[in-house]
Amino acid sequence: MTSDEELVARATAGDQDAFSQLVTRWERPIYALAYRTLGREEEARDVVQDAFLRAYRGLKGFKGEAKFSSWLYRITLNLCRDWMRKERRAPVAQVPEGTDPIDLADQQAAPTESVEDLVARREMSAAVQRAMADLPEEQRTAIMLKEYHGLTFQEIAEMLDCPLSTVKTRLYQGLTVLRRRLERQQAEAASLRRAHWEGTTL
Amino acid sequence: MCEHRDRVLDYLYDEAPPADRREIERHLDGCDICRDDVQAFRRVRQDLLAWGVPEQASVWTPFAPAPVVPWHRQVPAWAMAAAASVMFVVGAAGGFAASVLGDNGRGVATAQAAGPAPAAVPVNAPAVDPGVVSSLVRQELSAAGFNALREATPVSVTNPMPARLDLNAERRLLASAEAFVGASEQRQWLKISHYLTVVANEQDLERRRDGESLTHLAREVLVLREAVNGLLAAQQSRVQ
Ligand SMILES: [Zn+2]
Repeated sequence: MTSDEELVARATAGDQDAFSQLVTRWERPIYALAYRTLGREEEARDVVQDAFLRAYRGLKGFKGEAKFSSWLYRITLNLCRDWMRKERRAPVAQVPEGTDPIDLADQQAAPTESVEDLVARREMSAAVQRAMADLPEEQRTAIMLKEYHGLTFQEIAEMLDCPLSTVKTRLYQGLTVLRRRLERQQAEAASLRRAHWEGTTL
Repeated sequence: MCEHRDRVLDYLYDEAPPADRREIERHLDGCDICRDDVQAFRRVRQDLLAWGVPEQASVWTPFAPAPVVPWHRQVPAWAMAAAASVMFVVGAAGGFAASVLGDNGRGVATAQAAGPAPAAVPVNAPAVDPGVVSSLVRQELSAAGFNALREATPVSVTNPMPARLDLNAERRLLASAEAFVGASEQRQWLKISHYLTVVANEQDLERRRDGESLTHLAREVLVLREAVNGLLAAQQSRVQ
C-alpha cells in the first residue's frame, strides 16, 4: 500500500487522485473524531469536508514534520473547537431512540445478539456519550485520541503541543471521572430495571 | 494516587517495553491503588467501545463534477456545446472575434450581434470547479462541439455558411478557439461554471415544467448560430 507520505508528495505536485486516496483512507477516522467530539452527524460531516478542503489547500505548507494523519486530526480538532466556540455549545450526548423491542429488532449487531443485549448495549452507548460530554475538553480529547484512534502518548503530546506527562495526567483524570460516572449510571440503570420489573409484577 | 501512575498507564495501553511490563506487574501485585485502577480502567475501556459511529457515505466530492454530469447526460451534445460556446462568444463580445479572426471587422460586428451577456449571473459563486468545466468544454469542443454545432446550423438563402469548410480552415478555427479557451481569464470560467449550473438546475426543473429549459437553450442556440455563421463566413473568406 502506498504510504501517506508518498501520496502527500504526489498530491502536493497536483495529483488529485493521490489526494482522493488520502481522503478515502482517512475519511472515516476523521468523521468519527468529529462526530464523537460534536455529537452531531450533520455538523461532523461539515467539519470533515472543511478539514479535507483545508488540508488540500494547505498541502504545500505541510512540511511533513508530523504524520499526515496527525496533521489532519489537528485540523479537525481545531475546526470542532471553532464550531463549539461559535455555537457556544458543549458536545451533545445523543439520547438513544425508544427502546421498543420491535424497533430494536432491526438493529441487532449479530443474529445471536438478544434484544436484552441490544438494549444493554444501547444504554451503555448513551451512558458513555453522556459521561464523555461532561468531561473537560482536554480530558475528552486525550481519551478520544487514545481509545478510538489508538494514538501513542507521544503522538498525542505532539498533536496537542503539550508534555507527555500532561497527556497522561489528562488521560488518568478523564478515566477516573468516567469510571465514577459509568459505575453510578450502571447502578442507577440496574435499580431502575429492578423497580420496573417489581412494578410490573405487583 | 500512586507515584507509578504514568507507568501503569503505559502498561494499560501496551506502551511499556517487555522488561518494564514485568516490573510493573510486580508493582501491581503489591499496590492496591494501581491494581484497582487497572481493573476499573479496563472496564471503562470496554464500556467505551459501546459508543459506535453511524455509517456515513463519503462526504468528499469536490473533484467530481457532480452538478454538471446529470445535465451533460440529459442534454444532447450539440446543445451542450452550444450553451458552452454561447458563453465564450457572448461573454467576450468584441474580444473573442478579434482573437479568432485577427482584425477582421466583420467578426467583431457579428460577435456584438450575438446579444447581451448574461450579466445577472453572479461571478463569485461558482458551484463547480472551473478546471472541471474548462476541461469539459475543451473535450466537448474537440470531440463534438464545433462539428455538431456546424451540422446543427441550417444553410439557407439568408445564411451564407457553406455546408463544409475545408479541413485546414476547420482546424485553424478549432485551434483559435482552443487558444482562446486557454487564454481565458479565471473570472470567465467562474461565470461559465455558474451559468452551466444554472442551466443544470433549470434542467432539473424542466422535469416538471417540461420543455421550458430546452426552449431557452434553443433560443440561445439561435443566437449562437448567428454569431458562428458570421465567424465561419469571415473565416471562409479569409481562407479564400
Ligand atoms: Zn501503585
